[in-house]
Amino acid sequence: MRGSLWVPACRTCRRKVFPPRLLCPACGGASWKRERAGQGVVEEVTTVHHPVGADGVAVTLASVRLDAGPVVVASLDGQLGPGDHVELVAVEGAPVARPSEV
Amino acid sequence: MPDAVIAGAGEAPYRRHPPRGTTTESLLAGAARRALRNAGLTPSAIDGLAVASFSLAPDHAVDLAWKLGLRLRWLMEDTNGGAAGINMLQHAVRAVEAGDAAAVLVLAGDRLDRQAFSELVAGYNAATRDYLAPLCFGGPNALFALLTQRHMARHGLVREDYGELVIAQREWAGRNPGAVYREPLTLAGYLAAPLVAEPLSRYDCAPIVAGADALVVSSGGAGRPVAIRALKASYNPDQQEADGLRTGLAQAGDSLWEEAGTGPEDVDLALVYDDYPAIVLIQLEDLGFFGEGEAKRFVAQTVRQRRLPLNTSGGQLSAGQAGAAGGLHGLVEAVRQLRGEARDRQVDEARRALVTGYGMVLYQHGACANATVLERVP
Repeated sequence: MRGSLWVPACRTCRRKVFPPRLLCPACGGASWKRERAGQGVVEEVTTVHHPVGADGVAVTLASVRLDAGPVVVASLDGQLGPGDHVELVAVEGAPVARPSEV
Repeated sequence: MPDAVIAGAGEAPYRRHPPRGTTTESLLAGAARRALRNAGLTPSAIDGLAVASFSLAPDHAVDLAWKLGLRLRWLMEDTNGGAAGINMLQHAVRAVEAGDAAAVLVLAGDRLDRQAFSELVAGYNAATRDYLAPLCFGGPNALFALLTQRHMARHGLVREDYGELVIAQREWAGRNPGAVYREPLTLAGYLAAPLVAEPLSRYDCAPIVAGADALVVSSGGAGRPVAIRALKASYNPDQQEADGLRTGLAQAGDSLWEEAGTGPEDVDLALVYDDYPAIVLIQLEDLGFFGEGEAKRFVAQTVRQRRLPLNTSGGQLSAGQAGAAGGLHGLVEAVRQLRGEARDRQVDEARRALVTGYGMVLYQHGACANATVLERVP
């Protein structure tokens, strides 16, 4: 199931976090607004060649810095490397980065 | 109340493929017996128990007390993985000094088969279960591969730099019959190993073994007790919002050295938590063993020249990582060295040791860091 990746934004101080928290690490606020993760930039990429529990199928993962602030660990949809602009979506609720359509 | 000391230490032999019938609790019992013998105590002297294990369920600490025949007035269970050893030590010291217990047995160990390990990494915490496991991320190797790339880029390091550290530790392992991986390693051999996750090869990832470690903390002891000069901890200092290239030791270091009345230049050996080589360098930098950004020079001048006895058991990278015992492994090695019981790998005149713990990846990197300075009681 593919959908938007949601990033909670603190209603009090606007801090965006990922993964979700209970209280805002910046101001202690407890009220959150859901915002789309949107765009980001790939920082590092690695391929795990024989991941435990994945039947030996290699998986490529990246750390992606969202324009909104937080870094998310995402799998990559397509050939992408450090510095590439990407859009974050959610597949089964988990982050997937695909090339930005800009 | 007298100061608490470490009166003994022991380790159930680490094994890649343990004998049939080996269980987490049989390993814990084996480590406990060795530590008691080393302390010159019988189980009846123990009135406090602390334990950390990822695979003790459905049992808990009190079940273990029952099965070990211990009558206790102090009991705790710790869940902090690579930071559990020093965390339990911190609590045990306070318990003894407050008079709540006279002698505390501190235990950690695991036997994790492939299935158990797979389940552990996929369900490590809720954030992992919800946001990493669906990516089939394969456990911490992927996260530390990303972190190591960041470390390389930040400090101008190359794979050879980590290789020097891994090879130096392997050299120590060759002198430790308790280490699982002891064959000498060359830089060419290190670089030729297939990658697990760029830039990490299998030599950069602590191999999972079965084993357990134990300490006895008490108000005195036969033989040569080891004093705890200082102990500091830091949990969740960066909210997982920083890049993981510093640990909580960056803040805790100054007060650690001040309380211990010493500094990095005056320790005779360092047992630094080593799930991955980058983490060793990061902690050493945090604790002031070298200046900010000088990891490359430290590797060339100190590691390569063997100027600092570092992870003298071979560390987890060569001795193996026995689950939660990883957080106690460095303490046990420090005690052996400071008591002059390290045989072929004994560091001359070992008087003062630094030991660190690190662990519990919440999402991107470890959130727990702690360190202690131990000293031989003259």
